[in-house]
Amino acid sequence: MQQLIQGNEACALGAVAAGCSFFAGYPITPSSEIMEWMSRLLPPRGGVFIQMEDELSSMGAVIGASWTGAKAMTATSGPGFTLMQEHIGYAAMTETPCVIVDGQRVGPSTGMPTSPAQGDVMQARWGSHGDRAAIALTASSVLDTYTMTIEAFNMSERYRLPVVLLLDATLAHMRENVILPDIPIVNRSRPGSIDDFAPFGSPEFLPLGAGARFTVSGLSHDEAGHQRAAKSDAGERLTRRAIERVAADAERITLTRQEALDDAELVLVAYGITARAARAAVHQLRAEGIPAGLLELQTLWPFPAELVGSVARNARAVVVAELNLGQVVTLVSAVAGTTPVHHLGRMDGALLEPDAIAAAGRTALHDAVQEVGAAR
Amino acid sequence: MRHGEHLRAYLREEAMPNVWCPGCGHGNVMGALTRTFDRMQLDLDATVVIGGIGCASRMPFFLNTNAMHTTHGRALTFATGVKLARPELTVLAVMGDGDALAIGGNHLIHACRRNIDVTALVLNNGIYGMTGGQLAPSTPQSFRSTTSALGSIESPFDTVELALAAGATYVARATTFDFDEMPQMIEAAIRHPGFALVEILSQCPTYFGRLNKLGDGRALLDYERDHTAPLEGITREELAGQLPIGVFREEIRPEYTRQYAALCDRARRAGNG
Amino acid sequence: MAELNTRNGQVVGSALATRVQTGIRIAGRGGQGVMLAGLLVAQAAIDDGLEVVQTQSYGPEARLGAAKSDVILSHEPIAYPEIGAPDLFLCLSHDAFTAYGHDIAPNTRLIMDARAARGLDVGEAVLVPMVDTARDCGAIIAANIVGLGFLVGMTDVVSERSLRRALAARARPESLESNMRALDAGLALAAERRL
Repeated sequence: MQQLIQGNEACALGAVAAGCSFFAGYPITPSSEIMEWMSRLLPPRGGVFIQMEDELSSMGAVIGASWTGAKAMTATSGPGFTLMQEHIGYAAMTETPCVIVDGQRVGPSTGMPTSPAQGDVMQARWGSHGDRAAIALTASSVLDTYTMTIEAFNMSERYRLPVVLLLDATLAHMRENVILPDIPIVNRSRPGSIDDFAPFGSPEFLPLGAGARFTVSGLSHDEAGHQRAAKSDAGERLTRRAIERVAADAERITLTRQEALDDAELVLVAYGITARAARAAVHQLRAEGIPAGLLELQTLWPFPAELVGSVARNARAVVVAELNLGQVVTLVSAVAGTTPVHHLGRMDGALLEPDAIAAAGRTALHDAVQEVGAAR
Repeated sequence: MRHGEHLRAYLREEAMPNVWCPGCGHGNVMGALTRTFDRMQLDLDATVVIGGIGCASRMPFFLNTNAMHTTHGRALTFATGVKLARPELTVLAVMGDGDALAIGGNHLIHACRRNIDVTALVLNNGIYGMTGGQLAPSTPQSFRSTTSALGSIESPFDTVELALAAGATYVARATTFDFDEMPQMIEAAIRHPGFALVEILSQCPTYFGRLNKLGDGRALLDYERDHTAPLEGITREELAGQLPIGVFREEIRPEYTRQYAALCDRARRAGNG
Repeated sequence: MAELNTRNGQVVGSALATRVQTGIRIAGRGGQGVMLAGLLVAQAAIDDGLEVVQTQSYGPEARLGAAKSDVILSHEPIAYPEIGAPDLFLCLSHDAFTAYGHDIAPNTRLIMDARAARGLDVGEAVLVPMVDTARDCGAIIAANIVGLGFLVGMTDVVSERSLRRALAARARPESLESNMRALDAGLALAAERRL
């Protein structure tokens, strides 16, 4: 059935469909409706909803709940996402499945609370101190918000990681007609036996209170959970293993949408809300006879370097469009070889419009052709 | 069997030696906890001890329960998540004074306010031990630390008054000197159906004692004895600078996880969602 | 959306006839039911089998006396979610015109409350006594519904049937009757103009 649904509502419905039974959060624009919906959806289903005193505590409660076996999430926006980094690091260190939704708005600091941005891409990867495994997803429609919320849960459960879903202020608040699809759900795998089970370094998860008593700690620790906080390779070993779990499955994790790329001389790279404008720009350019194509990145972390590299190197010019002053473009540039990579960005609270992206694309392709001509 | 040998079952011996200095009071508290667990015959599989960061907050490593060693000041937020998701578990949070009163002060007052059935032990030694003896929000005025060499000019928090004002339903203060009373209060706090806070004055000979020329652990126990007085039968005037020891509040108010369960029932009956 | 712009064999809303996509802006004072009106158009369009994107002013934007709800209707998936210059602009208040009128393009069809338009340079706006008509219907608060009725009567962007169904589903039961009266009144006003 076609339903008229808001982005934030789709996120909450996706969470419940994924089996989320614990939500802790703190009000913040533009994500508050997610918690409002969860406060209505969870109690009749026997799930837990709690409004905490801040974002630090929201993430703490989420991790605590996850360690009892609950699928747990929080939702926030820039300032709150920054506060959550401490516990996102803790979740990574302790291999705790959980989902963090970040409805991006213009920053830094309070910025523009009701205006869209895509400035949290790097924070989603490197916001916590130290190295860690990371997964960050995006969504570009209300339907996407639903399915990617479920994907976020599935990946967090499968790889025992905090997974970040990056939305933005426009998507959070906009409504679209959608038919919610059935999507397979992944549940945390439990060890067959608790005898000699090592609680860390394995995709299998044993919650607290299940008969094997161990310590969950943010200190570097070994597989058994014993702290190894001074000159030990245990912490690095477990971090490498977590990164490896993600890398080994990168193909399954890195989701993209590819449109008209086969013969594309001009490749537009975009993600989230901006991918929509980029798609419109591709249609516009194709109508003019310019062979443009779109690579929409639904997964930003791990970054699909190989795919982006091969698409970029096959093109004559690349334009990366994003609502920031240059984040994903640095990753694309690093793998594009000799293909020129241009950046089109803004952080004034407005979206990038199809016309602007098309114009940047035209110029980029024109310059690339000129340059080749000049070299001859 | 040696006296107390059976209490080893409550300790995680593979995690020993512990991190505490000779003469530190935190071991007294851990000993009291093992005796309390034993007397209560607590199901260790259904018990979770959660610490923050600091000397006191290391305790979860050494107790043979389910354990979380979390982030500085935020043990109660994890405890809230664990307790809400599985109310049948017994949840304790062990924190230091800097942990609970400075960086974690906000979480502390909100846990008190919610009256969630978690037992909070605040081990107050008046100073930051793990980071090297810095000023704590509990350091008495004019006392020295490595960041108040000329004596503190700050007013310390009174943990008990703070918890009372914030709405905790069981509030007590003990000292590591009170070998018998302290475990009794801990037991009452664990049995209490609501948020229970026990402040335990503990001794830090390495920093608090040394920097303030108060002597070793033994001398600090004497100091605790001399600077505290039983709450019962004494007026505020008669206290004369001594801290009152005892149970300040023990009352029954609706507990958070039970209220939440009732809310779920109401929502189900109303067919919400 | 050519087929949506014909009625009784007569082409109406010719400005829209060649477009695949129609951008509608509904703006007014806070409390005038601008959000509800946007949702009703969106819901009706879905029932008509169209693709829909609806956005609205939020937070501080919506607190400065004016609020807006933008709806894009399309026969094809909608890429860019903002309407830019609206094709149709239903404006219920003076302040809303001041706040959101700057996006008006030469081909924007402005439908404005007649009283609210006094003292404003509204160009070739169609002036409709939405507030007065709503008062006559017994619910001054239903000016949004009068406006919506007029908009749909004039342009057929959505079907009358779907709009009625959306209104019946979303209006509070106690105000459904007055809302339906307001809708009929708006449709009747549009019919008068077309004659």
